Amino acid sequence: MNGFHLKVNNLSKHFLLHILKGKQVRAFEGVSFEIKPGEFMGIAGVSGSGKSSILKCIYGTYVASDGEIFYQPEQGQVRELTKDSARQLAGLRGHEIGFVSQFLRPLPRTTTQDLVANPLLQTGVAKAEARLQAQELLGRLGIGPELWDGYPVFFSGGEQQRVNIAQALIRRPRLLLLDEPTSALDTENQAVVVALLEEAKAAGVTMLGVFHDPALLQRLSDKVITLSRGKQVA
Amino acid sequence: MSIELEATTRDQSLEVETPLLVVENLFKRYGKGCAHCLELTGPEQDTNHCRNCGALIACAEVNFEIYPGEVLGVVGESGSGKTTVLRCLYKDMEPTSGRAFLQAFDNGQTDIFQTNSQQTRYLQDFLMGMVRQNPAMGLRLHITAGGNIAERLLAADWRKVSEIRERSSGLLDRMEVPIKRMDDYPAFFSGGMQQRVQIAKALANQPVLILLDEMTTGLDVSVQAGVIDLVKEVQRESGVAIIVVSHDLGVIRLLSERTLVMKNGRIVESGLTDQIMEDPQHAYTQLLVSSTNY
Amino acid sequence: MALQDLVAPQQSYNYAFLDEGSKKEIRRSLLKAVAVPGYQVPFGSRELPIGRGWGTGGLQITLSLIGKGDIIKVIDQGTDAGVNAVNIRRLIERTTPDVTTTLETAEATVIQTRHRIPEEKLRADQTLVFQVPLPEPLRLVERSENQTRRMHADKNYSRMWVALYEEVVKHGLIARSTSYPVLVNGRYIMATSPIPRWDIDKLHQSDHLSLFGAGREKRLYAVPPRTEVIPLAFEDYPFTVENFNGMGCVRCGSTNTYLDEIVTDDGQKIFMCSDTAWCDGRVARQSKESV
Repeated sequence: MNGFHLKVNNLSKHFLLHILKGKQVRAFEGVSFEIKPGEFMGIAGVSGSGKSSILKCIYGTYVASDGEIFYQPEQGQVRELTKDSARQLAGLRGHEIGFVSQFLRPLPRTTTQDLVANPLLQTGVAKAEARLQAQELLGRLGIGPELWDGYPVFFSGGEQQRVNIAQALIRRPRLLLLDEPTSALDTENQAVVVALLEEAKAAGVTMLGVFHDPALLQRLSDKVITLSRGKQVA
Repeated sequence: MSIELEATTRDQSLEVETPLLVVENLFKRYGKGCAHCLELTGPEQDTNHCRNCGALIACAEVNFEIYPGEVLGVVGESGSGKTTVLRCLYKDMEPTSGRAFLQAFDNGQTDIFQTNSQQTRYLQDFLMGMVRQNPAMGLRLHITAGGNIAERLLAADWRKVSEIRERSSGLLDRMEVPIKRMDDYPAFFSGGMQQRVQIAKALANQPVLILLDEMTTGLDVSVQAGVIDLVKEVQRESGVAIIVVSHDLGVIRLLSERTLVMKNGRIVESGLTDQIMEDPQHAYTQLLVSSTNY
Repeated sequence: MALQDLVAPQQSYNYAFLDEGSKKEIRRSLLKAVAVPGYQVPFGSRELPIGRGWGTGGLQITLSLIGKGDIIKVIDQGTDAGVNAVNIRRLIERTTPDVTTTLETAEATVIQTRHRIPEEKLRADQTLVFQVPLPEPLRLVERSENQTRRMHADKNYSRMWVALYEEVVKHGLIARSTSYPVLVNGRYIMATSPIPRWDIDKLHQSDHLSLFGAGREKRLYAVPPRTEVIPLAFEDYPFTVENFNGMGCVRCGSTNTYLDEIVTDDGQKIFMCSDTAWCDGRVARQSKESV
């Protein structure tokens, strides 16, 4: 073991907009950090400073423009994610790396419990068992049985976000990327989520989270990097 | 009671996987062709026609893989070549050149573009299924819904009517076609229901790969969602690999994990579907993504 | 030129009406047919003084095969006395001086038939020649000749099976009455010509050679002796023969032969053996016994 779970080296991302005649928009550049297994790293900075883009580069949603992303999977050699194929990146998603976005993306005709159970089905778990696990997780997140057969599109923002988190957590990811997971929540719901994240941390899940609330960052993070206008300042 | 959040050991192997299907240099040309066809056609030239010899290059330099249990999207507009690729794979048409290897067919040793008629039927009847945009092309409208599925089973030498009906009704039921319509003619079904019968038919002999050719085009939006959802469920349950061809990014987004973007017969970009949608690299992909509202 | 000259018996026809070249070609095609049981061999169908659709195919086979010493029986719907059978017999008699005709099944060396196989079991030295109107069993499910040839070549018969399945669904059974499809030698689906289901089993593992000729459609096919002929059926909807509900022949009393249903002038329905020669034979034996 090299000692890190995730190591980012001089990572940069800019967008090349062909349809705007090749205009370049920089998201961030020269970002470097290292996270050890079980650590919680926070990314601070005002909106637009490129924080989410870092997460998306790691998850594969964005293609990094420069730099390296080293990831130590549960088994096997360290991988450099910018060199991995799409298929390999897809293979990491779910159990190795999970992603909690800011908003839930409901699927048509899919009930809450199925939405949360689905990621398990992909790994070959039987439907009944997957549903049970989903129900348990939803229950813990305060989404009661009366909502399990409902369609999340009709839920409140807070409820939707809790479903969103459940969806990511059900696969028990080793590294969890959090993109403003509580920004859309009121204080009470925030507290539920934060408690959950603390439990996860206690259970050894490595986390990298973007929060614009400094208090939350303080509370959860073991260490923090700060971005300003796309550059790492701290 | 705390949630179990410790990482558990997974069997999912991250080592080198064997692809289910490998396509190498698939090339389809209509017309005699000349030495300049490739350089005079393609996305940069914005055309499929070779201005030197008049040949039409339906697709060229198409290389890709699909893995067992994966859903691969192929998106593009007309002329992109996406349907040509599917039809060549399903042996509906012969490519001009290129090779393809299906792991389930002779262990990937035989090029499926070079099969004799018996092998072709084996591929079409047992290893692959196809769902077409126009149900009239994919179904026999004047044979009962159950009969359409029975045809596949009979090709697999099923000879007991009761067993045939049991499997047919099971499949139709799974596709949410009411069982009492099993002995009705698809000519009188709605578009959505016709598609469901097609999907049931495609699944009859438990293929390893299903090809969806603009499966939802022409259906009402509310019906589309139902069909897509059904396909997802079935895919999860059966582990069948799927190639989804569509011009509709929304459909691709909902179904596929990886996507190929095609234009003028070439693949211009390929990657994770969310990457294609959120961080498209190629100019055409950017245009495509920005033009839609998925 | 007097009238007598014009109605004088014809001397200018070849032995057995057809020229030797034609007969040779037909025999060659028959050899091919025998070599590939159930496969429809195309052949150059000749002009005959009989309308197309009246047995020209069967007749061409018979004429190509017969020679000195052959004994011919011709039946139509099981009876030797049908108009067509009579005329075909007359043509053979007039063009082959050393060939005799008979009404007795056991005596014949070649039997030409439409619609029935004689009740009497045929021997290895006998040949059965069928008149076939529609040789293509798949025509019901596919109109295109190209497609049906492709289906035979690829042994792709699923559409035939679907048609049978649809019949079971619609009628609860396979409703075909004549020209029931069979699988010959495990390879080709064959049209049995308009013989009733009753007679199909006589083709299976027969001692005799069966030849089928379709003159209008220009196809020959064959079932050699000792060949598997299996009617298409489902495991749970097996092949059944006609049921006469226990009725017997009014002439000879037989209850195990194929019966024709006849409506008499006073509206009554009676049953009689379709194979008239067989029936006559039984009646003759019965009257001998009663004497």
